[in-house]
Amino acid sequence: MSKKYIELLFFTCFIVVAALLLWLNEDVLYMAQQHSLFLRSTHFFADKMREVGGLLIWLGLTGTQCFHYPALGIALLLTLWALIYQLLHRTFPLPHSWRWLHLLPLSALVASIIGVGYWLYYLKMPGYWVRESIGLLLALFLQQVFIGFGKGDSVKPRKGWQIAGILLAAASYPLLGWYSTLALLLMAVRSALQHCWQSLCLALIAATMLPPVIARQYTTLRWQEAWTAHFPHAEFTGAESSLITGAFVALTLILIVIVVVSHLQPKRGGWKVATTGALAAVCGMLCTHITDYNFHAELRMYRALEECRWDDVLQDMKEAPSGPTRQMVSCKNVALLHKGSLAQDMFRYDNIGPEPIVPDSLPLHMAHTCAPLLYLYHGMANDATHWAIENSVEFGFTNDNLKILALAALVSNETDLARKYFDLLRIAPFNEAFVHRYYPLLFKRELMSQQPEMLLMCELNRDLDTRVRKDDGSPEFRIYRTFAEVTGYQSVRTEELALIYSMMLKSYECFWPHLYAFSRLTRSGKMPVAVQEAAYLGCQHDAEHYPASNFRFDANIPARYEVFHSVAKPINDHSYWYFYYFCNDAKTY
Amino acid sequence: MIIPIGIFIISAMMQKHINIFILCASLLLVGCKDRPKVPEQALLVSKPLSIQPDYQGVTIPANLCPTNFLVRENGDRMVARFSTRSNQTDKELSFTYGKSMQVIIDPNEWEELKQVARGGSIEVEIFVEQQGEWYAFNPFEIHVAEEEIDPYISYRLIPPSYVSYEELIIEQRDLRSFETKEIFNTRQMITQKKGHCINCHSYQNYGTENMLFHVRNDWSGTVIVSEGKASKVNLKTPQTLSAGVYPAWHPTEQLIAFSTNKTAQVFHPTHASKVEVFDAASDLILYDVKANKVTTISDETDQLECFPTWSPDGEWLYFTSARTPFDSNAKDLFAEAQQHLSDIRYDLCRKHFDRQSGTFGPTEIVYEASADSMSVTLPRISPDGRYVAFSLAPYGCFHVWHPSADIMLYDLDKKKLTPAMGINSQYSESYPSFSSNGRWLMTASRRDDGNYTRPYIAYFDKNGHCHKPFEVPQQSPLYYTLSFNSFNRPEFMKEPVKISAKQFEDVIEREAQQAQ
Repeated sequence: MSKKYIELLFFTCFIVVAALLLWLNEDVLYMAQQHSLFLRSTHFFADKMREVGGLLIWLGLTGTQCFHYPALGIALLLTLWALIYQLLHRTFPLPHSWRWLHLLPLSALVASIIGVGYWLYYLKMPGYWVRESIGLLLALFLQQVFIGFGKGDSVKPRKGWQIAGILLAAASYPLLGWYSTLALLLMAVRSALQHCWQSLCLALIAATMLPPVIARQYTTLRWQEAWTAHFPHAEFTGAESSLITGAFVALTLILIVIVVVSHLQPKRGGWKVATTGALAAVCGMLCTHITDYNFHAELRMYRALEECRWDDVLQDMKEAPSGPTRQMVSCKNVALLHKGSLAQDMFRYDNIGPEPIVPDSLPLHMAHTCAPLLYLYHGMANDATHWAIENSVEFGFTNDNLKILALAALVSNETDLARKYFDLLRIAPFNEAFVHRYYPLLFKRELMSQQPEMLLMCELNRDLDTRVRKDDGSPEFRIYRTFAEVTGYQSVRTEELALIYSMMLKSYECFWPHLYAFSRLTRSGKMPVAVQEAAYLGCQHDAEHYPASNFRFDANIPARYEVFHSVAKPINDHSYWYFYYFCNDAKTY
Repeated sequence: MIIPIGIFIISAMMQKHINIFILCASLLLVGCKDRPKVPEQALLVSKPLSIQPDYQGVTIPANLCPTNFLVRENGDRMVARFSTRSNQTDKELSFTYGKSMQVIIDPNEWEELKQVARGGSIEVEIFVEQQGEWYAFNPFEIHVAEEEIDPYISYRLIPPSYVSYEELIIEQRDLRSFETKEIFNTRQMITQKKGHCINCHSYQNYGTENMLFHVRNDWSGTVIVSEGKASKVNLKTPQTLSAGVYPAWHPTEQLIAFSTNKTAQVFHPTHASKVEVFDAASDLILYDVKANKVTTISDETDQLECFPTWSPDGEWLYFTSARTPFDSNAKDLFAEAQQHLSDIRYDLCRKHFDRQSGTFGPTEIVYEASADSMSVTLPRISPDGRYVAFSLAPYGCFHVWHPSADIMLYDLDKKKLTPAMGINSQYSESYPSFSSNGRWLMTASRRDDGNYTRPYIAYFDKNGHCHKPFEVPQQSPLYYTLSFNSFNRPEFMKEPVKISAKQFEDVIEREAQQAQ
């Protein structure tokens, strides 16, 4: 087999592994698209162009929308990476046994996507998912200009092209930000190696002097960050993503190494080196893949909730190998609520599990990950709006938040406001199904009857108390308390919710009034088993005020309680008693 | 092909001149197309026309930029015919526009139209084509007043959030064109570890030689421009509740009245108001810019004093004041105030100011709103000193979140309250301000959607009547739909701010000078 085919085989293997890894992270890609926004309007373009690197941001946001269909997004990324590989190959040709080096920048790009993890909720880099690949591609294109579209160092340096390349790279700074600086840096390294001192000086001057001068013209950038404008890094309240920063620092260093090796054209090295290097590139990607079931399950459950696929939410919950996170428990609650089996099934699932595996001491907070959707599905339209807006202000407006804002406005009957959000969603790609489903409700509220989830949200919303409360930023307990601590609901569904949430709070002060109210509203229908268990337990605790003889329990309840109590360490029999006694250290966030 | 690409690159490189790019692109496109023709035959439609922003029947100043709008009717394309006739010269003008469903008016033709129509009106006819059939709507008029408007306004761009802030911009807008300029943008300085809020931009007598705005949290202080020079001052002293909050420049002296407030916010799980912002305590102070000295104007413990504003002659300081319906000595003052939120009602009050001694007289109640179970906020006096415009709602001091809040006018001569008819809507209207000639009244209105505040301007005629307000025009009729920002504290200015955003940055980075 010729060397050329072996290289092709290496590259193909690399791309296949990258594609596979991306496919395993399709939930991440879909959420990345939902956590971004692209509007088909000149206003949106002009708004992005207010930033250094604005064109790249705009292109990145455009590309990120393809992730709505992960296969399309993967195809886009693979195409970009193939082009990058081709340009690297053309711009910085390497001896055959060193060509694995060309795979390393791609490896860094793959890692920067699949290893993001919980940082995806906290990224403040619009278009990040695609823009870095486009940025690198354009930086390499500028290298091509620098070498006069030749092939590496095979031709003598041509001063005219070098100056043109440097000037073009410098001029592209407002459009490309950091990638313009990167292009100039690589040009400087190449000029130094080729002893082209004029080009070296020009590139260094352009790279060091120009960014702060241009940045002074912008009010959207600290001038201290002029040289690294939009260099990818994620930071939130003191925590910084080591993977993202690391991947792009590594990418920069690798590119410099490639320039040097390309110039030196070392003769040493054999296929062992090549194979080891290629394997290192693949391993680099594989190591960053997040295998945590709960992380991916949270993303799947969130999407299933948005699409009202309640059974899929519950399925993911059931399959959690080591118990659910608080976010999964909250999503499960919503699914059961909308499925109509909250009281029956609430305690049939684990209600406690491990804390999420969070990288870099990131202070993960449900207020930032899922709170707006949880509030919305509980009919708490104001809280949904509150957190959707807060998160949008902090991390940027997104498809996801716009949809929540539109539905929250519909639930609270703010049709003018809902119209604004629908108008925006209509010019954001891939929201046709959502708009088709909910937009008609703006004009005909009676169509709500065709959307049971909307009916329930409105019903819950109508029953909410109008009294003001402080928001301590803990969505799970805010939801429990909002319903459990208020009495006098008109709707059976709200009363059921309040009853179950008072059980979740383990508050008998809240439980008893809701039990009586629920019993009254259901006209003495059969009480769900978990509620009977809670009531029986309550009777044991306060027999004086709530004697068991006052209630009609299923015949087996007292006996089961005795058995539960007689065992030294009971197994999780999914009774309320187990939850009450053994699910105590749930740490909400 | 090369020329447009060149224009694109050069324009995009110059962030400040992005409008040039759009303009050039528009000109290239427009230059290739014929002016749309009015159909020879069209069926008359009786239903009211829906356009956005709504300029039907509004009165605009003679120096206003084009009122571009979107026709919100079902149709494939449309034609708008603008025509006018001068009463004096009999000169007639007519222009047609129409790009899909948007009406983008040529600025030069707009100038011609306004010149001819000044003191009269421009008639606008709208024709919409739907499935090959043309429909004509009832024409509407845009009245052009004789009077001009102050050339600039400024406002703070802020998403309607409650706690978070990332990018806050104080921006000035030239009303004669679509040109905007950022006075200051928090992103110039913000990092992940340090952040700041900017607010309460305020000018002395519509000029920018003396102006201020606050910086909160990191780099905190009040940026005060005095006689063209900027500095940063810490107005919090041991005697005051807080640093200065709501400001009011004396019209002629280097004096600024501020409220000092202990403010909190709480949330409604369900309620059109969404959030309540309230004061548990508040006082009034006076800051002498030249002496760098703070003195107390009013600090009665059982009164919540707020929103100072000077009469145009500088003789009176108007403000709002509420008797605390709770124990103002309570241990947890905020919890106490929260319990009585809907009972806090502010009256309109004033104190006489003696310029010689720099002292204030006793408090006089001008309008006892609490007696009508209402609450006054944000009073502003008309330049002729006759009217006080304010926002009125059933309780509280943060009417921007109270949909029932309306702008009211209090006639100081007749001592009579009248609603500013026409300017109010079903949603919140707040922050009224008069233009320097007194003929225009601007408000921060939520009439578009109930949540996003937009600047609306109404003609305020010599009889004290407000005409139908117009939304400040934008180049793109979809601007407000696409914008996620509220326009906070819209203020008129006679001139642009001369200090650049970067110069303000340098001032903000410095340590604040402590007021005495």
